[in-house]
Amino acid sequence: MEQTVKFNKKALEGKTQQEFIEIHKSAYPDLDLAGEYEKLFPGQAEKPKIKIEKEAK
Amino acid sequence: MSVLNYKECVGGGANTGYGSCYLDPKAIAMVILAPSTFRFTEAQLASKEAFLAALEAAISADLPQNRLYPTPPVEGITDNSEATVFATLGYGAQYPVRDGYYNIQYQFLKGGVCALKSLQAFNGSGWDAFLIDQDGTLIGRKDGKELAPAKLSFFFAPKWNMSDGTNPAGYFFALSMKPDSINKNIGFVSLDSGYIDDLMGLQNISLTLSVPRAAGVIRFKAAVGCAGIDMYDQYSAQLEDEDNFIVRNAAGTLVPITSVAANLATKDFTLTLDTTSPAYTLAGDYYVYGAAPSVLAGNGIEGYEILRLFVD
Repeated sequence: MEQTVKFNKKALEGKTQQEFIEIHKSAYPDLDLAGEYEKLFPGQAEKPKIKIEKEAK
Repeated sequence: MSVLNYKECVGGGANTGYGSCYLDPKAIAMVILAPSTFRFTEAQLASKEAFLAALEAAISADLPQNRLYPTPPVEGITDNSEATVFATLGYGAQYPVRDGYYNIQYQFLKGGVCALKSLQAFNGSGWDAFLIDQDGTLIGRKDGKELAPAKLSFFFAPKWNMSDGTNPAGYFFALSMKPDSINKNIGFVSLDSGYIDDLMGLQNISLTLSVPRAAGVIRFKAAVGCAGIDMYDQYSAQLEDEDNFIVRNAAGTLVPITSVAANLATKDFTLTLDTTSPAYTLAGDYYVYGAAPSVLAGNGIEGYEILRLFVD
């Protein structure tokens, strides 16, 4: 379905990427919402936590 | 000077000379309904440009109660005005008791039943009116240095008449007024006759749900007037702006809109609501309002007002 979406950046200020996705996933199931969040708020997406395991000695 | 036993008598008569250019109203081409408190101010009457700007602004005023409402172009009138009332005195002289009321019925065609329905919403209300003749002269009532609408005794738009196969369906509105407003107190502004061809009131945009409401998602179609002409093809880009819409819950609290989408395949629009807002509840009812006409005009949707959509 061809669709254009305009996000309201002002209303979305302070929302986490996860909240952003939750709000919009049912309306725009085919949209790359993580990517859209990155476009709106560059560099603000939560980085996945890197688990550093100590090598067993 | 003492006012005791003093009757102020105004000297009668006025000079009766005239020049080569004078006010001679032509057939009425349009009526503009106006709130009785409405005035064109002295500053707005300072030039034709200022007046036209004020007139256009008033026709699309954000607040409906401050707005001017032009009727469709008038195609004919039936003059049912009352004759001057004379009393015949004992010796036979006829004494003028009072001048008769104007009782005029106007016929129109453009806008048909849709426009008639809108005019019927003014029935019995306390609105006044400006008249515009075919020369483009706007006629009202002079109120000091301001121009007021002529005072109406009533306005009434009756039911439409059915076409008889020879004549089109009949659409009419009628008004009644004392003669003072447009005689003793007449005020007028000369516009260009071509100007009234473009004069039109705001059009309604109706929103209807296109799919049942889902959690935080409202999808609707937008159509113009009672004929329901879909706006998508012409205005999808302009309507796709959160500033055009306001969403409130049943208590009247604003619910933030997080996005607007224009959906080409279904020719409808999607609004998403901030489901993390305290004003949002999953089961609550919502109202979608349009922004003020001035905001819509700023977004390229000029001459329209969005009607409220109830979402349950």
